[in-house]
Amino acid sequence: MTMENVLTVNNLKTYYFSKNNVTPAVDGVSFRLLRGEVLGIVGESGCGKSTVARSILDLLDRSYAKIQGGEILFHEHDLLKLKKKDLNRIRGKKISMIFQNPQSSLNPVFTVGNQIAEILNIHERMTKQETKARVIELLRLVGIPAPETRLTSYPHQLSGGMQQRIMIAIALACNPEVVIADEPTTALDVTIQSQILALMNQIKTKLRMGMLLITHNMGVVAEMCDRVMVMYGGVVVEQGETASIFASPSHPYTKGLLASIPSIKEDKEELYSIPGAVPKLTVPVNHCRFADRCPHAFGKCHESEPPFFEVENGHQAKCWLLEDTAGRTHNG
Amino acid sequence: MDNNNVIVEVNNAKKYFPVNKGMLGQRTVGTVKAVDNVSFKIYKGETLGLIGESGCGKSTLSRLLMGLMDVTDGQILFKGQRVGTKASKDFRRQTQMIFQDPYSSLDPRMSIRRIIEEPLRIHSKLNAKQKLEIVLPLLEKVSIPESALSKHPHEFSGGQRQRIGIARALVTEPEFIICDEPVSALDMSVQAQILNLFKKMQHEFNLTYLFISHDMSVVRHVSDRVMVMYLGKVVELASKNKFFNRTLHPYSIALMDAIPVSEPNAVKVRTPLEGDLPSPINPPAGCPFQTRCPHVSQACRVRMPPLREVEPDHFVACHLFGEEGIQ
Amino acid sequence: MSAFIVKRLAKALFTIWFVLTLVFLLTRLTGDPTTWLLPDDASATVRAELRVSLGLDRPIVEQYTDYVSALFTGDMGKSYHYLRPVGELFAERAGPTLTLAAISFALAILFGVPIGIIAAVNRNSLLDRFTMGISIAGYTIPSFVFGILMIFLFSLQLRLLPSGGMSTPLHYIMPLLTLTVDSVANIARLTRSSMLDVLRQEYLDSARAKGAGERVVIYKHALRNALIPVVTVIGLHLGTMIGGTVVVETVFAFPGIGSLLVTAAQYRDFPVIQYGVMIVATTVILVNLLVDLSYGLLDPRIRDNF
Repeated sequence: MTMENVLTVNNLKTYYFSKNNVTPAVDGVSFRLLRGEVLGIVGESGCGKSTVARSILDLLDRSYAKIQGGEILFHEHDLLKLKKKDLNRIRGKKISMIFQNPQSSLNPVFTVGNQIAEILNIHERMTKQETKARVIELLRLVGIPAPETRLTSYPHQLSGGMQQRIMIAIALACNPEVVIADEPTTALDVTIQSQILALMNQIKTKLRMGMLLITHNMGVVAEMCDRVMVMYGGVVVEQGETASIFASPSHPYTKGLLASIPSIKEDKEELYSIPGAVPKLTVPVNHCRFADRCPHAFGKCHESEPPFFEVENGHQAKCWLLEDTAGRTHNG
Repeated sequence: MDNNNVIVEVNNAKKYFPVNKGMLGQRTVGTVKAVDNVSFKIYKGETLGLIGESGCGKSTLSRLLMGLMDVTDGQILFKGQRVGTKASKDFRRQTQMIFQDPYSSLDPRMSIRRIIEEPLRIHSKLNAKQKLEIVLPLLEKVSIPESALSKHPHEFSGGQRQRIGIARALVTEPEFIICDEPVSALDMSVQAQILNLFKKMQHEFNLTYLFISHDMSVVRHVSDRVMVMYLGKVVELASKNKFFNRTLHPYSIALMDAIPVSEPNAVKVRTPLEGDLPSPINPPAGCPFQTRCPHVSQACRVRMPPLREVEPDHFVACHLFGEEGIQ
Repeated sequence: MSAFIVKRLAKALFTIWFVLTLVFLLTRLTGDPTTWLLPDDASATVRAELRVSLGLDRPIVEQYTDYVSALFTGDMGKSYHYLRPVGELFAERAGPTLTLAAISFALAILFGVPIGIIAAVNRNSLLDRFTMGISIAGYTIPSFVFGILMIFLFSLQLRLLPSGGMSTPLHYIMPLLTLTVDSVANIARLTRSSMLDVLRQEYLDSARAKGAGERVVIYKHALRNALIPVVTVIGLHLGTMIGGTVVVETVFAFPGIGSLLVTAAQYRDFPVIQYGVMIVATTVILVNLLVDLSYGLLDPRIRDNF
């Protein structure tokens, strides 16, 4: 099955500038998102995963964040070169986004019906009746009971799970080709998280869009993603098919991360833990960003940044340990 | 377990809050039964894991156990003494709490030394040197360098702050510590460090923990016994092995089932629990889980099933498990 | 909702009654009006007679019950000083003051809110620093100083504007400016900070992610939320503004309610003071009631709580 590339990111660099520091929040990230697949970006806070998402839709705070280089191609259009007006024709219509906190992502003073209708009013030519019918259809699609009566509800009248369903309805309103979901279940309770994940699974099969799923939860990755990228310190350190990464994690960071998660199925006396804390970079660097915490680091790790080495069929990791055993790739 | 070893005993504890409406809160329109007829014991040296989603009453319960508010009805005993807002100073020394958010639970204007020494000012009359003699070994135990003493909270990462929070809780030599979601604000790689630290401290100081978390895997890792709450009521209480080998209450099963598992190839046919937590204001009679339970029957709508011991060390409040034990 | 309004109205009436009673007692503590109403050499008998005719000789409780019962009949009494019914006096002078206050109020909102928005949207820009600098100046310079400075400049030096009176529209310019500057400054600063707060909210990003233009994001999604605290201050401002007219009317010899009240206070003209306070109190309380109600319109979360 050949699949169409919908979103291509090449060597994206987004830096944060403050008085004394330059933080390379995203420092050369490249990937392709295919139609119909779920690509996960997983990592801890500060790894740059949300910055990638915000860079794509131009949602960065321009007072400190700047895109320093790279391109973000939606089909053949470079989003970074588009005029604001043209970008607005793609935002919401072709690429839409689901945010982490549904409660703060819905405007408290407008009804949910109004907020779903807004995106239709921006992008589609519809009569009032058509809009209303479509809003109700969307509410039904995302599993909101009694949609007709929910149109006039305000966000605060709904539970967190229902609010996130509304956000999903907004994201799906114009049948986008790409949905970016930034920690869509992190703010929700476990049983509600599982409802939302089931809904997202069901929708992706039904609508065949490409989904970029950003999360810190390895369980969510395992359950949702076809492919996954592990980010650390602003770069992708490992990427490949989800099954392959979970079966044979190859970067010491990925290995450590997987080993440090307590299991629901078995008892461990002590958890493996990665020493130290997530680094706070204040200048762009050109060595392995994990070297300081890595139990296997050697001289070269502190001197130059490793490229991707192929582990197996499409599964790659940026670690010098793999240099001898794996084939070097040119990608990134 | 040996009843002489009981450190905390909760008997039919209730905490009800009136719900007021109107701009001035002038009308009482209902009651939230935040903690509703809850009984359990915590034994010396164990970790009781408390699981529940938001609104289940776990925060109210922890505030009751800390003596920060009084029960509406029932009683809470700490080593046989009543716990409440009028509890003794000695109780306050012996019971400490570790909070969820290491960023907001430490006063940003205080030095680390003052933060850790603070409880000692209240509970003892030690001079500066004596206090330092207590603080320094503790710092070493939680792997915070001595140089940290003069620094302020913002200079530390989330994990380090939680270590400082642990040192502060330990400084009064408490016997019982309530850990309220202590790792849920931390990054995954740091969470493991802190969980290991909790275990290490427990062995070293013979601590008793009530460990509150929404994360089943974390609870499994740290607990000896597990208690599940739903809408103010305890629905299941069991030793860890009994609980995880044979989860009985339909809500506990749903919670277990809802956890995304890090095994991409495991084919999971899951039926997520439908609906939301019902409003805690004036809940229906009977079992609180009736609105979402896949096994609901007539009895559930009429009567709240009591918490029954269906096998040794395994208590469930569900009509599916009647007097005759597990079917 | 209607139960809420009834309750608030009852409370408002109580507040008005309380203010009236307080003023009634306070004025009587200031001393004997006859000292000012009669020449210094008037005999004690004449003074006593005047007191009797004004009813000031009777016990205070009696005076108070008379006053309250007169309120219900609409009889507000006669001014001691002007010897005319107070209702008439106020009717004459209400026009200019109301015009002044209403225009000033409108100007304060019309300029204050947009300046605040523009400053917030262009935070830390030259424009922001400039407008906020001016607004701090406008806020800190007392309005009478500002008024007197304007008289010096525009009337005495440049001879462009009349320094006092109210016969032509030109007479309104300086009093208006004096009265408005401080409110514009205040409202602008508050709108700016409220707006800055809202501009950080995630729902603006979700509006942008929908493809909404920046104008819609600011004026539809942000402004409505930012206005909620601003409306409170606007309501409170009306009170300050009425106090402001007293000063401004004095500085510009502008014959309105403000200057009437000042004269009344000087002459211990009890009926005029009482009537004036009643009008001011009622206006301020009504406006605050409107402000409370408008919360519900602006913020559905509050509406649910009514």
